Amino acid sequence: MNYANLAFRLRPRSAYEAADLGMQMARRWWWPLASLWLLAALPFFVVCLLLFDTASIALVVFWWGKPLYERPLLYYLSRAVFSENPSRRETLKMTPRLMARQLIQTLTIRRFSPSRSFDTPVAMLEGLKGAERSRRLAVLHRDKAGSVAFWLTVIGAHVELCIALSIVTLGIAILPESYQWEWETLFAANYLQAVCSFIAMAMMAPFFVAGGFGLYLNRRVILEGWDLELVFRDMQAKAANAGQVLVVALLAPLILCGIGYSPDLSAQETLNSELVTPAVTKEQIQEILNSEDFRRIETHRIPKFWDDLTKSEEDSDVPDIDPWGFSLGENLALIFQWLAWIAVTLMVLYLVYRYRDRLLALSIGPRKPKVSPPAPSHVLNLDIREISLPDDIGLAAQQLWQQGKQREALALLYRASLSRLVHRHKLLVNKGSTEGDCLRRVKKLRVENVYDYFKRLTSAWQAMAYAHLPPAETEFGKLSQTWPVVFDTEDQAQETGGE
Amino acid sequence: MLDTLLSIETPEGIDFDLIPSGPVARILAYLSDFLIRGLVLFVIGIVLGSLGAFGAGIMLLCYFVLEWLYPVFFEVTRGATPGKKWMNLRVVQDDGTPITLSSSMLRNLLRSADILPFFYVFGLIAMLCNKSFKRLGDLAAETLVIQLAEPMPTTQNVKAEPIPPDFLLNPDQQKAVIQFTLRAEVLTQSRQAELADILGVALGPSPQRVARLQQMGAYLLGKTASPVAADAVDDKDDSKGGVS
Repeated sequence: MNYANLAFRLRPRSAYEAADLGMQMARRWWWPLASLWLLAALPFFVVCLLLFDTASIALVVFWWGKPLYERPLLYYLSRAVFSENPSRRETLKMTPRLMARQLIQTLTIRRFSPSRSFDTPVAMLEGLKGAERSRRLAVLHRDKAGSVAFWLTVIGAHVELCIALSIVTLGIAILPESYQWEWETLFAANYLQAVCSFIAMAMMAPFFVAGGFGLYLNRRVILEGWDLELVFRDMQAKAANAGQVLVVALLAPLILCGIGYSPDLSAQETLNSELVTPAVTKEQIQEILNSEDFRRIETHRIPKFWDDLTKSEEDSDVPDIDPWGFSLGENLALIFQWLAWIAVTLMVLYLVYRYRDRLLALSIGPRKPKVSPPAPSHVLNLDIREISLPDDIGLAAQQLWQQGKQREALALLYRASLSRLVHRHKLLVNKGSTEGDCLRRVKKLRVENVYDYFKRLTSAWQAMAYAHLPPAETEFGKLSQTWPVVFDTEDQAQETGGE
Repeated sequence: MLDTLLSIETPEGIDFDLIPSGPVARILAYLSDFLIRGLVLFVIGIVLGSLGAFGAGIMLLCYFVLEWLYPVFFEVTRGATPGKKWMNLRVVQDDGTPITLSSSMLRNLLRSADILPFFYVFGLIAMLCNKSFKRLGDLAAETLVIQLAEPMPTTQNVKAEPIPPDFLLNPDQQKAVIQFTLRAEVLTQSRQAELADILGVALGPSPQRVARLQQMGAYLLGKTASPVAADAVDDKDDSKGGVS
């Protein structure tokens, strides 16, 4: 056996894991295995259907022969694990011979064996018969392998049924709703059942055979120590290699004297030279533990709360309370300490109660007016200080308009409006506010006529400023004439109202 | 190379292997959970049977909770449902960390996808279509059902006296030597001799090689020496020193 060619990793596995290894094999070689099964089984299936009138009887007969169709799969697997995957043609050529082997037992007493896929390799690959085979099986079945093989068969049978049924269910689910069908027709559709079962068997067969083979292979690995042989051979090869190099370099004359023996001897020498005794290891460990990495001092500061404090006090007190009197004194001190704390608490409570009116007055008190941030001097790069404005805004704007400075005229109106709003209506704007921001804030002031006017002015100003579209003469006239009405009279009204 | 292991590397650079569990163990675990749920429902049914329509309502609620929350509860609190525990399985995240509540919810809610078209056939097909045997719920929730490694064998059945090996062994080699010792009853005598002979003279003269290998295995397994045997070891070391 050449371990270098193994297609799977040698390792002792638990029985369930061994079955899973089989599943992995079936996954890896799914197409070869499934196609082999189809090629081996399809002729039988067709013959059965032709021989028997009732499809269900044909299916039972076909089902009875299942162990036969699994033979080529086992043959393929037994070679594939050593990376000697046989071709399909080769396997099929072998198939009649494989099927003939122990044919009668297979189809009679062993047909209902609950561990078929696990037991078949013994007959097929080891060629054992009769009592020898039983003894061998008894050994192989130990260590839970037999029970896993049993469950593999039981579950496999049920899964096969489930798959067959699910093909039917899927078909029904896909059928259009308008299509009327009866359960009876479904039961009567024997050929449909036979085909569904055939597909289900084809899907399951590779996994069933490979699962059993995986179990078998794992038992062989464990019972014969394949994994150990691999590691030991590897060890020996490495040691021998190292030894030979040494021998050639230093002991060239010696090799002539004892060719047969020297590699082994020197192998031992090299092995010995790497000797690590527990004492040496302990020293090394100590060295590492003494190194910088393990000698780090970190200081953590954790706040001590009352619980911790009392706890630590109690802890430290415990060993001190030896003499009885002292302990009594200690306890008294503790009692008085508590009494003192209670007194202090009561005192504080009394003081609070005594001066409750004053405290209430203090805490509620007259509310201080909110300090509003200082009004900005510029908004939108427009100077809005009152000092920068002419006395009669409306007139000044009209004069500018008549001079043909339409832009400046509108700018003055807008600037003056903002200025009044900021200084007299407490409008909250800042340097970076846009026209839209200003308009929204003005709306929040809830002064109807001011908002209406400002809205009109803003749209006129935006058209002028950004699109260079001057407002119509009449529109400007209205804006400039209403300005004093809106702002200055409003002011006066407010002032008189305030008085 | 085919194997049943899944290697995980932690951020600290530590490698460890998980064994994803295949369909056989998982189906058995599911069926036992199914049985447990059925029994509980049966008992509840007997109790609530006398309460008429009210009892039927409560019964439906119980059924809902058992069907959907039973696995979530056990997976999150214990790592596995009773059935899985019995089969020595555990549900973990893809990186081997314990399963979170949301993952558990997701993987169990998606049973409704796995159960199509008839009794988990889609789930089974999905399991066989990927290397780590994940059903649809596992794929969505990024979880994994793993087989727990069997506990480390004890030294109780090891008869050989522990004597340290004379040469350095890497972890794989140590494992092999330990396995050799543990399989003293399983491997035939002739096969043991054959295996020990592979290592050759490093183990000493031919008839003692098997015993020597078993002593090394006993030492590596952590068997403690009886006082008498310890003296014997010292003697042996001395004699060896003399020879070499």
